[in-house]
Amino acid sequence: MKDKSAIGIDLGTTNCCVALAQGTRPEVIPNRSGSRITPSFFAVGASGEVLIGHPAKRQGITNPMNTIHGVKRLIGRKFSSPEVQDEIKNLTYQLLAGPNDEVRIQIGNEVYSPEEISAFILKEMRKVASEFLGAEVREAVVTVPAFFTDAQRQGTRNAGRIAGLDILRIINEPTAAALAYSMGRRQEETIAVYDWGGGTFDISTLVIGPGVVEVLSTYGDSHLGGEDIDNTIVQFLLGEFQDIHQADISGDPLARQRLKEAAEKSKVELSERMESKVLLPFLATGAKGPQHLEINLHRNDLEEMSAHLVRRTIDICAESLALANLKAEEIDHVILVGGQSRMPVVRRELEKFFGKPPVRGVNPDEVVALGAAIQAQVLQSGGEGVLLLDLIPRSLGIATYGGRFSSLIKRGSRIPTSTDHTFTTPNDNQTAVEINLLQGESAKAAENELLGKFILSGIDPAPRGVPRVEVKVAVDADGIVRVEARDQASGRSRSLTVTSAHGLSDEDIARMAKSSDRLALADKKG
Amino acid sequence: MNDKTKAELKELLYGDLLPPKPGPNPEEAFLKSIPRLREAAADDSEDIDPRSGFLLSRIDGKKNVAEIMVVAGMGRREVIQRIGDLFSRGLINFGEDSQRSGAFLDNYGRVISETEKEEIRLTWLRMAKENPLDRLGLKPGSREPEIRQAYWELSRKFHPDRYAGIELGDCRVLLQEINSRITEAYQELKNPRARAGEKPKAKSPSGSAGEEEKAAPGAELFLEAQKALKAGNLKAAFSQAKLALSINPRNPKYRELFLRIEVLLNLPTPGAKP
Repeated sequence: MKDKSAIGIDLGTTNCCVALAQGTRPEVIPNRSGSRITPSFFAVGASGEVLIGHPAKRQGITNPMNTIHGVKRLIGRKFSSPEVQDEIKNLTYQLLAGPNDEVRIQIGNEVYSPEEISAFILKEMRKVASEFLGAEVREAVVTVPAFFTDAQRQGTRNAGRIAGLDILRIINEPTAAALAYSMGRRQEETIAVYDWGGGTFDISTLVIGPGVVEVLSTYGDSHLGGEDIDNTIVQFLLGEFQDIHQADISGDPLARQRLKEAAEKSKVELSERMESKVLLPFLATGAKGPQHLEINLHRNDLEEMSAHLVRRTIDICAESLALANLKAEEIDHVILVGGQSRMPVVRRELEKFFGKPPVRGVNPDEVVALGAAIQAQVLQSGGEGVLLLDLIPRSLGIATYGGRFSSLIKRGSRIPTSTDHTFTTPNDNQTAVEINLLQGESAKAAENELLGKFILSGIDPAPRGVPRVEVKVAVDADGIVRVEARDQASGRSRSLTVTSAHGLSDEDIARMAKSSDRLALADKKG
Repeated sequence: MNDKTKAELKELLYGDLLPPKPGPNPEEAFLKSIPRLREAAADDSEDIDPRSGFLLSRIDGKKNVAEIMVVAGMGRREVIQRIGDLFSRGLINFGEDSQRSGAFLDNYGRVISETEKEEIRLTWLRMAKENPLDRLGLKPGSREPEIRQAYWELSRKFHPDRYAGIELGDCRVLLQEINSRITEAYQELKNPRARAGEKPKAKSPSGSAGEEEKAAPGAELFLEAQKALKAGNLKAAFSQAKLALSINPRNPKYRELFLRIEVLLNLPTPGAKP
C-alpha cells in the first residue's frame, strides 16, 4: 500500500483549481466552502490574520492595500519592465523594487516576493487536496501559460518549493487542457486550444491521437487577459464619473477596488445578458456631499471597449497557425479555456476565423487542472498513460560578437532536446570567453532575455579563429535549460543549469518555506 | 579497447547531459530511515547472494541506511538496490516509515530488464544514421502521416517520461540522445526547408567573440581513420576515429565509423569469455 496521490494545480491569475487523477477519471477537488475554484487572493487582515481565497477576496473592498491579487502577472518579471510599470497603475497594493530589480510587494511592514504570495495560494490548494484525501499531498504538477518565459516558469517552480511541494513538472496550460480533452477520444484530431484567462492569452495547436498529445505550435501574450478588459471598463467608469461629478477619483484605492469589482461583475453578467447595471453608491465624497455612480452598461459597449483586445487574440491565432504550417480549415476542433473565453464576442470571432464553432461541453475553468492531474498520474506511475510531446515557445541561444544573438535551439523545437555548436575567438591571444545564455527571437542580444552567464577562462593563447569552444545547450523533459562550454584544446569546461534567472537562491527558498510555515501556524491560532 | 578508454569515451560523448533533479529529495528521507530484520526472514535466506547477505548482517535495527552504506564497502546505488530487494522480499522493514521508504524503493529499485537495455542500445546505434528516414525506420518517399506515426511509435517507447523515476544506469544518457536524434529527424522531415543544407551551420563566434568556422572540425582525422580502416590497420583507425570524435562528438558520421571499428576490435577471439 503506497501513497500515490499527486495533484494537478491550475494556478491562475484570478482563480485556482486543483484536481486529482486516481484510476481512470480525473476529478476536481472542491475547497472547504464547496467551491470548485478558489480565487487567487491573499490578504493580511486588520488583526494580522492571513486570509487566502474567498475570505481574502470578500474583504478586499475594505482592505485594498493589504489584499493581493493578480500576482501571476508579476512573477518572474523585473520591476523596471514595461509590463510591471504598466500594471502598477492598476494595482491597489504597493510594489517596491528589490536590490536586483526584482518585484517586491509591501503589506504593512512586511515585504514579500511574488513567489511567496503564489506559495501561500499553492499551499492552500495543497491543503484542500490533503484534507480531501485524508493524507498529506506532496507532489504536484503545476501549469503555466505556454508563452511564459523561463524566468516566469522558474518563479512558479520556486513558489511550489516554498509551498513545500515537490513539483513533478511545470506544464503548459493549453497542453494540459488538450490532455484532458483527449481522454476517451479514439481518433486522431488536429485541435486548437484558445486559452484566455485572467492575465494571459495562449493559443496552441496540437494533434491528439491514441496515447499521444503532440504540440505543433504555441503562441501568446503573457500580458493580455481578462484583467486588461476589467481595467478598460474601470477607465471607462472613471471617465463617466468625471463627466458626472467633475472629479477625478483615480487616485483613491478604495474607490478603485470597488470600481474593479463592479467592472468584473458587469463583464461576467454581460456574457449572459445584454445589459448590466453598475450601481456604486457613496463612491466618493465631494463638496456637495456623497457622490454615486449609476450606469447601465450594454453588451455592445463592452464589445466596443474590448474590441482591440479581442482582435489581438485573433491575430495571435493566425500567427500560431502559421508557425504550425496549418490553415484554419485544417483544425478539426477549437477548445475554449479560461474565464475570458466565455465572452460571446470571442465565440463569434473564433467561428468567423476557424469557420466552425468552438466545442461546447468543456468546462473552461476546470479543464487545465484536470489535465495537470492526468500528467501527475503519468509521471508518478513511471510513465504509463498518455505521452505529452511538448515544445519550447521561445528560442534559446547565446550572445556573440557585436551584440548579436546566435540562436542554438529554435522556438518550436520539441523537448527534450540538445544541440552543440563550435565557436571561436575574435581576438588574437584571447584567453577567456563570456557565455551569455539568452531566450527570445530578436537578432540583437540585448533585446532578448538573459537566463544566465558565466566566463570560460584558461583558453591557450592563440591567433583569433583558432581556439575551438564547444557550446552545448540542452533542455530536458522538465523544460530545464542547461548550457555547457568546453575549450577543446585545454579540456576546460564550465556549465550552468538555469534554476532561477533572477531573484531567489536555494537558501532564500528554504528560508521562505520556513517562514510560510510560521505564518500558517499563526493562521491556525488566529 | 580497455575499460578505461571506454569510460573516457563515454565521458567525452555525453559529458554531463543530465542536470541534477531539482526539488526535495525523497532519497534523503530514505537514507535516514532505519531498516529492521523481520522475524520470518529465515525462510528463503538460502538464495540470498553473498553481497546482500553481508548487508543483511549489518542490519541491526540501529544503523540507518546511510550508516550501513559507510560500512558496506559497496557503491551507493548498489546498497540502495540491494536493500530494496531485501525489502521487497519481505526480509526487512522500516518500522513506522515503511510506507514511504517502500514507495521510494519501488521507483528506485525498479530496474529495467537486460532485454530492454539491449533494445535501448541497439536503437541508439541506429540513431547514428545520418538519413532521418533511416533513423525513424521509414522508406524513402514517406509522407506526413507515416512520419508522424513513426515519431509517435518511437517516442512512446523511448521518451524519458516513459521511464520517469526508474533506475536506468548508463542507459539514461543513451535514452536522452535517442530522443534528441528522433526529434531532429522528425523536425527535418516535417520541415524540409530546415534540412541539412540550411541547418544552422553558420557557426558564429562566441561570447564576446567572432569569426566563421572553417573546415568541419575533425574532418582530416576522420579521413585518416577511414584510410587506416581500409588498410586493415584497426588500431590506427581506432585512435584516429577516437580523436575525430573527441573534436566533434556529435558528428554522426564520425560516430558510426568509430562504432564500427569498435565492433571490429571487440569481435570475440576463440576461447575468450564475453
